[in-house]
Amino acid sequence: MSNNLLFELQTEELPPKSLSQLISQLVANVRLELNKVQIDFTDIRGFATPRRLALIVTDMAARQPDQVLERRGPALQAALDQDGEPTKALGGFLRSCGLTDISQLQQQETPKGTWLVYEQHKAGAGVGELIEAVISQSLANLPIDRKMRWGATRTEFVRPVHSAILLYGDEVLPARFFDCDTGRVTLGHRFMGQGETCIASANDYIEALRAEYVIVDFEERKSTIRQQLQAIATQENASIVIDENLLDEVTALVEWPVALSGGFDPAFLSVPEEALISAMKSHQRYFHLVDKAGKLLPRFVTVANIRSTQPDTVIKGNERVISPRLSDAAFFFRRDQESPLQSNLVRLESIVFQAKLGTYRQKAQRISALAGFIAEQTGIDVSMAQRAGLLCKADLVTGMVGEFPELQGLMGSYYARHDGEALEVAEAIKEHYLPTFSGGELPQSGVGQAVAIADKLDTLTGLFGIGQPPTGSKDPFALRRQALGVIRICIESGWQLDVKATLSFAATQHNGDFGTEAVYDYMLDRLGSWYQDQGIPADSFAAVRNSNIPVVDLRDCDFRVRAIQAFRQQPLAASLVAANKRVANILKKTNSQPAAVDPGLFIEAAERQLHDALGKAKILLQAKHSDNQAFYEQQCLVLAGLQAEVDRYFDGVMVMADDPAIRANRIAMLYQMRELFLGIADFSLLQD
Amino acid sequence: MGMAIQAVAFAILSAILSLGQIFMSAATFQDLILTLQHYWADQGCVLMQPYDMEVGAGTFHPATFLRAIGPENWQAAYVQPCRRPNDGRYGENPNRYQYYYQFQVMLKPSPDNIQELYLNSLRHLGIDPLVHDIRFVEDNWESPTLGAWGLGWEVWMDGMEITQFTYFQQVGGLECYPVTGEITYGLERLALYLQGVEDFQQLIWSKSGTSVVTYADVFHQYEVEMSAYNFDYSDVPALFKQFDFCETETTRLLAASLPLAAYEFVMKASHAFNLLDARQAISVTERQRFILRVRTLARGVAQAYYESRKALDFPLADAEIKQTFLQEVMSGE
Repeated sequence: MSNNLLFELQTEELPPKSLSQLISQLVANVRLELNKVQIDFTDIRGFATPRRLALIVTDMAARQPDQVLERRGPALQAALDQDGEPTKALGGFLRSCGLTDISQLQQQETPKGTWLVYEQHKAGAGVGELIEAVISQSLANLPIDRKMRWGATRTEFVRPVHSAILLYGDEVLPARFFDCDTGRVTLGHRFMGQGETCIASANDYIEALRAEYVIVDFEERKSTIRQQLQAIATQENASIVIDENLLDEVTALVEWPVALSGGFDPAFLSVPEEALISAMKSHQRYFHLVDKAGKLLPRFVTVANIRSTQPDTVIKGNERVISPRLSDAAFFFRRDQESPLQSNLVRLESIVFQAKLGTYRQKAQRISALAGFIAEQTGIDVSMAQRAGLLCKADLVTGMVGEFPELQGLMGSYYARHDGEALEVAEAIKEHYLPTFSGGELPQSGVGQAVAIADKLDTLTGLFGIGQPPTGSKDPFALRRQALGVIRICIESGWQLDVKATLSFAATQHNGDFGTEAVYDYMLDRLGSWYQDQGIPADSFAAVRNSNIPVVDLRDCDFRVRAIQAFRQQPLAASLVAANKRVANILKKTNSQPAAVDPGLFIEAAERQLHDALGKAKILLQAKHSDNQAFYEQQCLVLAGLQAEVDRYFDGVMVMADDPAIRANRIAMLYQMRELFLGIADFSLLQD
Repeated sequence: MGMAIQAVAFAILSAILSLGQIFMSAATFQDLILTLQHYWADQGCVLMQPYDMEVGAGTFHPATFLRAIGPENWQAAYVQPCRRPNDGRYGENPNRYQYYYQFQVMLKPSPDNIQELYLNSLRHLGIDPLVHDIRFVEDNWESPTLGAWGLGWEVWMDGMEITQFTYFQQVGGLECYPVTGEITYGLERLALYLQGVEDFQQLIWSKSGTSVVTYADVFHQYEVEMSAYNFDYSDVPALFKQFDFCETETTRLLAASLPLAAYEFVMKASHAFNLLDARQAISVTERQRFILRVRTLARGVAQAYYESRKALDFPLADAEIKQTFLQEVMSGE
């Protein structure tokens, strides 16, 4: 026998940003707990609105299966004494099982003899007995940042709980959650609903609440809102910009969505549109409309939680709210432009970047010098890079960034342009925070790339310098993301930047004796995991990292890693890798040093053939370095060309010859061969 | 038949009367205050008067901050003028002033129907929730200077924040039990709505016959002068000294077991800090240190106030709540 189960908690308004996570976690928890108690079901569907969390378990079994619990007692031999009387051991076991006689026990044959066991037949518990614990445990295990209490209760939850429904089919299962006895009554929409509503059975839940102006299904509400937004856009002959996070948040703020559009004074369009959008989105949860060319229109869309009897009143009210918000933005924009960006540098002195690393003014100066150093190496205009570095943090003290922190960099670039700074400088100020998230967009301009790297390396060397590298759980300065940002910019910009030298320059600028080894290793570790994320195994990168050519130019490193990755797919790679492992082992054991090879000491033909092949390969490998992956693929091919000679050599030559001179000569040749390979990568590190 | 007509006539009459009352009730700024006072007095609140010192929010009033501590019951409502020096705009922003009014309600323990009580107060002001889009939008409250935090919402009406709604969880570093429900109306913003105007200055404060007094008549000059004082004329070195003085005074008074007197100096210290902040006289790192200093004082006061009420055996507490408090809340500390 099975039936559908409905559980609903009716609450005060739940936090919108975590609502969908809350319900999916609750569903997962209930699934887990039901599995633990072996109650069968087909599926669990979760429902969430601002005022309720609910779920329906479909085809849920009425009982657990019956169980047999087996308890092993004493061995038969130890149970009865010579007279056939029960021993103390047997008596104790019977008592612990609540039994009186040996006849109530079974005998179990094992290789070690016969044992007494008690087979306890336990009838499966019914849903009514189990469900309260299942749900209580599921609720207790919800990930809630901050729980609260209310009134004079001692229970805790995200927000106050008003009632709980627990129906199995059409029958109420008695239980208690958060001081509420379960029943079948809930509330509909706060204003449009009739008040208390009875749910006849689990199957009626969705439609009963729809009649009370509540769409309980999160996804259904979301798609309703999406359709309404699109309909308004069509009606206004415009496009609607739907930020998915905003859509989720808005979905969590309404039970009965009604999208309404309003407008604002077009005069505000003289303010940068990003600021207007921020004001509408972050403060008001409005969606914005753009024209065919993607330009912001003086319109907005709000999603109300009511079919108002006077929608115009709601629209007018919203228009009245957005106007002062935008006028504040306009006020800041005007006032910020009254003094040039450069004049803000003085005020940066009062903002501490990090207590031991000085103020933002000092940081700006370091970024400027470091950006200049990078520009010099990469052929970018040095004075532009220095200028952009100096000004890149100057917008932190503007009114606009104070009000809308997410506009940092962007406002600086507007103000720089207004001040008549070079366009490259303005662009770099805007771009230097990029990438702002893992996999995010990178700066596109050369000056922007230089300043972005300078800012990040300054932070990295500084925090490592004062002994605050990121730990597993703590990375308050987002060093992980910044290191990865530098890596991606270096590789994708196509620069030949000496990372080691740049790190040294960055470190010496700090007020302290900061090393660079730890940061450098940290960055290479990040590089390794970046490759792994792209499906390039760790050993391909390790082979390059441990070659004779230190990784200083990340783009060159990238060519090598990808060439190795391509090379190892080839059939002949395996035996070359094996040969490298063998050579590495021999050399490790003999602790060998570089030495000249004397062809006069060759005995076997294979020795001479390998020697000749190595010589030829060496010449080929000295080909003019060209800056691409194909170059290294070509080099790998040259090495691969040695395969036949190498195989023949190991088949026919005994390296550890008795004669010390011959042995030394052979080791010297292997050493040369190993060096040849190590010039590209340590092939011995590649795994099968 | 006659009876029926009479009944209908009566119903219509009372509808007209109640409508009239509703529209009348919010016609002026002072009517708004009077209506809220009547409403909350009817709900059993003690009507208090504003505290006569500079505070940044109605929460600072001892009727909220101190009464939220310990197991005693308390229901109060009052108007509180608030000063936020940083928000001054020389009277030029339509709805941002450095001096404005809050209407504060604190209900302890928070009743189960607290949201309904609040919504009914809006109905009394003539706000029809079937017309307006009224929502409770998550907004958690944390006052680092008071060592206090709570969870709750800002209440939106057609997108405008008109009320802050908070369940206190901790005050002065002490766990709140029972929990206080705090409702804070932004009176000017609510009045903008009720009067259908765009700018604080246009609000009608009072009306008598043909004579009308506006918010601008009452406050505009003050707003301009105080903005100038806050941003341009306040004496920074003197304010730093004042802060130090308030700090030592609080400590001295706490040592003398005078928490209520000590608390007044915490409020003064907090205001001195806000004035210094408006002058951007406090750098980011120092800022943190100043907040910590005020918090230490607020915690000291909270603890001392708690002790003083305990010494009186919490006269306003329910016996059952008091017992739970002593057994479960204090035993965990």
